[in-house]
Amino acid sequence: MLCAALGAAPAPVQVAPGGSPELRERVTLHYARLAHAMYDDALRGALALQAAVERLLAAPSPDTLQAARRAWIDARRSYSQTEALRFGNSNVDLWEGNVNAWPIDEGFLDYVTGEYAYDVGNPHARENLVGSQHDLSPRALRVSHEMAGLEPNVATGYHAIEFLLWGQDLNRTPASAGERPSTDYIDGPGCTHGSCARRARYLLLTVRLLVDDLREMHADWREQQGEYWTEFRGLDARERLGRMLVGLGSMGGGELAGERMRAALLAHSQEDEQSCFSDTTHLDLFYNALGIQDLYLGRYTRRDGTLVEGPALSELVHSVDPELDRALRARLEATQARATAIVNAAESGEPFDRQIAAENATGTQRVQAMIDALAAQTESFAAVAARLVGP
Amino acid sequence: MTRLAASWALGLAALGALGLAPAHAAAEPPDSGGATTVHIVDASAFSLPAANLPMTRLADFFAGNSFFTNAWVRAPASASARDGLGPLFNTNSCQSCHLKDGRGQPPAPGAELVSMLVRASVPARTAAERALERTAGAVPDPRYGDQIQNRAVEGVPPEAHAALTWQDVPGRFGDGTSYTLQRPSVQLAALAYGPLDPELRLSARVAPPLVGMGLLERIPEAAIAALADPDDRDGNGISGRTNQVWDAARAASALGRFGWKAGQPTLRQQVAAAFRGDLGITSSLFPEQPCTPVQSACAQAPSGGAPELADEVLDLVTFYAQTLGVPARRNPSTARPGEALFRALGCAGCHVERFVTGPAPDAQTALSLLADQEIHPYSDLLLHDMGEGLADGRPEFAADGREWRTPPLWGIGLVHAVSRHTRFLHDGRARNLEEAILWHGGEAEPARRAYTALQRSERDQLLFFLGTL
Repeated sequence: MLCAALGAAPAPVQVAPGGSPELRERVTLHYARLAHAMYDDALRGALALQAAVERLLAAPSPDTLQAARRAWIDARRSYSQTEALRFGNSNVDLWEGNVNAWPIDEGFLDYVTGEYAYDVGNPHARENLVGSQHDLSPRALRVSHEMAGLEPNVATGYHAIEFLLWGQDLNRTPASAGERPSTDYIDGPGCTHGSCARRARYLLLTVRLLVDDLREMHADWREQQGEYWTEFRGLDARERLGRMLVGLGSMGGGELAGERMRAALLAHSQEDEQSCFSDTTHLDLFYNALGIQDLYLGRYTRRDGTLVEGPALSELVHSVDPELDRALRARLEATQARATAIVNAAESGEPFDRQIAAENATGTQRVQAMIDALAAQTESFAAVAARLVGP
Repeated sequence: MTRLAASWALGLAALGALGLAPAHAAAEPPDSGGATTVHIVDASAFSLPAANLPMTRLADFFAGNSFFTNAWVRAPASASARDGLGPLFNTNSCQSCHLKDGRGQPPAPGAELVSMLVRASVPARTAAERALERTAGAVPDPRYGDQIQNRAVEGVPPEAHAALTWQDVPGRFGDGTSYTLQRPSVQLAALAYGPLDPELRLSARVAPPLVGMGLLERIPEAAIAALADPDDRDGNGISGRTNQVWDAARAASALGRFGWKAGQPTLRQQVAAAFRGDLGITSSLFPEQPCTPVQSACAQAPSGGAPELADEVLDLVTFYAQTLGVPARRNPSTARPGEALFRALGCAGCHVERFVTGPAPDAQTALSLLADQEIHPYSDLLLHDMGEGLADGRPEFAADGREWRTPPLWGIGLVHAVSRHTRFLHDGRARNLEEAILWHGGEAEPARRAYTALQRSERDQLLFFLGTL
């Protein structure tokens, strides 16, 4: 679809300022189709994680723990791409806090050792849901989430699971992540750090809740049936495009460039690193950016390798302003290149928390380069919004 | 943060960023915060970016929010710019006190203060102290400084345990119904640095909400000064005065706008002062730790840098505070009877409804979103004598011990939704809006009396109106 649009010379027909109504309709509905495919993969990833966690709990060992961690990283890869659907779609925004809340006062969840920084204003920062007498049921976890209205009291979602699989990142060596032993899950003699049976129950419950949450979001976007799909379909194309573009601009320009990268770079602190227990923040950044590019280009590569493609936002922009489309595609590509550089460095033993270290000039420049690229693409998204949506 | 941005996109606010905010029906009053107004009224109501914040400035807003929200740690922490907490401090993040950008509250009786603090000072007794008063606003206690820091890093004794005790204050409405207010007094225990000065004056303060700070900063000085009537020439019993405070960046006297006694001239200085006083984090504006001569462990504690807060971070947090949106009113048309009472009783004499912000100066084009906005803060930003009942007896610059700045009322109806409490006034003594009204005295005494003389149904109408702000 995209190639056709780019390959052919623009037909000399008069198009409306925001593109043809027919194309606007097709592009926005394809976006919903991509959303469904992305959540389908996120759900599959979470189911695989659940299976790996069940194997870990059935026979805790370094191997089963390692396999569960790999499953988390893999599940997270799919989820991270869906974040480009945030900030515009109300169903995602209302739900997101249950699955992706961060940062965590981890003493709220389980034992902590060493220097543990938490908010003085958080009376539950040492609650230790695992090691205390708190009721452990799906409902209790839901109720405990954001206890006392405080966001660092994270009881559910990817980062709670991450902490339960990795433990605190105490940086024993520069490249090390959290080093939670598999014996933390041995029910009986050999249990480390106490409350192993409760910890195992907690981990299983929270993984199941994650699966439930993803099922809900997956169902929400189901074509012709999903609640949000129906709402989205009921909007006029201008409102749909508004939601899409606010999301793409806010995720890249605000959440990613601002909170996750610029704040982390200025603070030089792993407390500002999103996946700080597993030291996989570089993958979050890469897949967050990829999701944005995918939604613009109208194509998404599934977990099984198949390609979903169709009428792209890019094609719509091209129809009204080929130069704007060309610039935005180039900028998205530049972001990908810079994200890839961060991933390559991380995989060569320089995790994101080292790349943002004050004394690491090369690392900080590498991170700054991606921030700059995100700022540039966001500028283009703002221009696209002005062309396609308003004022 | 996840929630913050999340809710931003839920409604009209998101489309505001694209210039799509809808025009209001003619019958509705204009938006509280002009084009910054956000239409989400849940727990995130005070945390949303201004509806007209351009997409390209979201990175600054999000980064600023991160520094506002996350906890600071003591120095030295391995190469982190988030260190520098203390040595003496009240809390370790802005958000601890301004939870969800809202207001703080008093703790349970006898419990340690969390989202409030205690200011301290002594009368100026020497020429040097009188000179200090002109730039610092008050003379710090020689041993404890100008604020009781009830927490400290390891190895440094916290100054004191600070708690509140409460005393009942009975009263009666005109219709004979009785009520009971409660008045706090500050109890300092476990004093770590010797006796308190015999003339010490203490003032307990809750953290104020952040609603609309950037817009208040843009109200033209002349518009505020025009409302001042220090000698009550118009004879209405209300004699608002401007506070003249010290602008540290310009090293000059300036109009005070922020704080319970309007002791800060700019938002940037307000933020820097809170970083130093409340978190123990120095900045280019306030490069010295507030350690007094007897606090040697404080003076010798490791520093997180000179200064500890980079200007870039100070500017981001300031930008964040400036560009938070103002929540829209809910159901304003049903609140007309209460609104009429609000005016008839004279409340609007100080809680001034409407201003228009000034044009964007050339150097501030980044904040043009705040320029030329018609806003409804319900404050004149002036100092008023509020009577003996509310007096703290502690002057601050031109404000005497009975004067307080009119607190803006926008967003006041959302305090429960955001903060899960309804504590009002400088020390959080009022347990609801009605108690806050009943504490009014001094220049507001006639308005308070008129309120107590109303029928219950009329009082409810007035309270209903406040709830829509």
